[in-house]
Amino acid sequence: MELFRDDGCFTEEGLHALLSGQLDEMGRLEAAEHLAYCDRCMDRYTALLTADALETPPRSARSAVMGTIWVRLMQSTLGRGAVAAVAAVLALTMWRSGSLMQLMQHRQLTTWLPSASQSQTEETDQRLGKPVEDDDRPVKENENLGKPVEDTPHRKDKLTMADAVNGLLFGSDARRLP
Amino acid sequence: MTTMEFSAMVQKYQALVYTVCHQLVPDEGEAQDLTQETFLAAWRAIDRCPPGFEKQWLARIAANKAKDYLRSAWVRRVNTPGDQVLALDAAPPGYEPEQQVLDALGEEELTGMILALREPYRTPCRLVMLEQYTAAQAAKLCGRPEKTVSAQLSRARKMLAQQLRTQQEGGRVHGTVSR
Repeated sequence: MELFRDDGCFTEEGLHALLSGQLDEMGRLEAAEHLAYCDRCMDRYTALLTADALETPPRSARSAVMGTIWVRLMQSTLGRGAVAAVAAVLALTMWRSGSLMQLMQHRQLTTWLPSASQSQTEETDQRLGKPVEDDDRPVKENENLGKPVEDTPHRKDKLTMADAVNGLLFGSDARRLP
Repeated sequence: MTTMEFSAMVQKYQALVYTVCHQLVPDEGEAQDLTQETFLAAWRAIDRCPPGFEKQWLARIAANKAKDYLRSAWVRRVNTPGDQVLALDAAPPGYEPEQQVLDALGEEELTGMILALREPYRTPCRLVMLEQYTAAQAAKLCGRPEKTVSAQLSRARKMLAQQLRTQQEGGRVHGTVSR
């Protein structure tokens, strides 16, 4: 079977072999190369691609294509502003949902964990071999042990919103600032 | 064209574009990816779409995407390590190993082999290898893109070299290069 005539265009049987998927890899490459520049053969080919000859794609291309286009449009028109806006919306959402406070409380607790407090400083070296005392905890906390917990809104050690934001932006030391 | 209009265009022609891609690249997943790439390329060049010829224009972009995919797949397959072509490593830079094989042929034998090639290889090979045109001149004379002619010349040289090897190994002499 000849795919091309002497003038370089598709033979009729070549065109039908393409439509019926009978071409091998080399034939398909040659056909694609030819369709990429030959208007006459493209017209012949698309004329044969009638409704009954079309295949249905396994999944719609529209959502993926339009999604990609939307993202690119956003990037090109809004640029960094879009990123800043998304960041602001995320921060507000976290604040409103209370997850920011939870995060800060979690960070406060982890500073009391042994793994966080046991660093190899001179002070800790001096205590090596001595009985372990849980002296890292604030004295005030030890005094409260065994007493009912009062969840008063004006506790001195409760984090304010400004502390939480400072902690997020500048690290754990910032929230201890007055 | 607005994004809404383009979205409607994607909906209308996605079956056509997928069919073109799938007929040229049988793998379903690759054809789906090429379909998306086609529409994204179409969006970037939407100003160049001739009114009333959207079908042909999209099919052309799809054929181009499929061509690029098939070309790189073919190059990867042909240039895999262990290929006999790579054994001819004495060739200077820019000098194709197949050309070495063809240069060793007599003029009459080379002419016979080139004229026995099938299209789309015969015309560019005749112009470049027998009539001493450059690839750019041959492309103009053939009415094909220069890159296409260069790719066809490269493949034709590989085919001819392979045909010669087959002959030297005692195989039958074929009148045309088989696919």
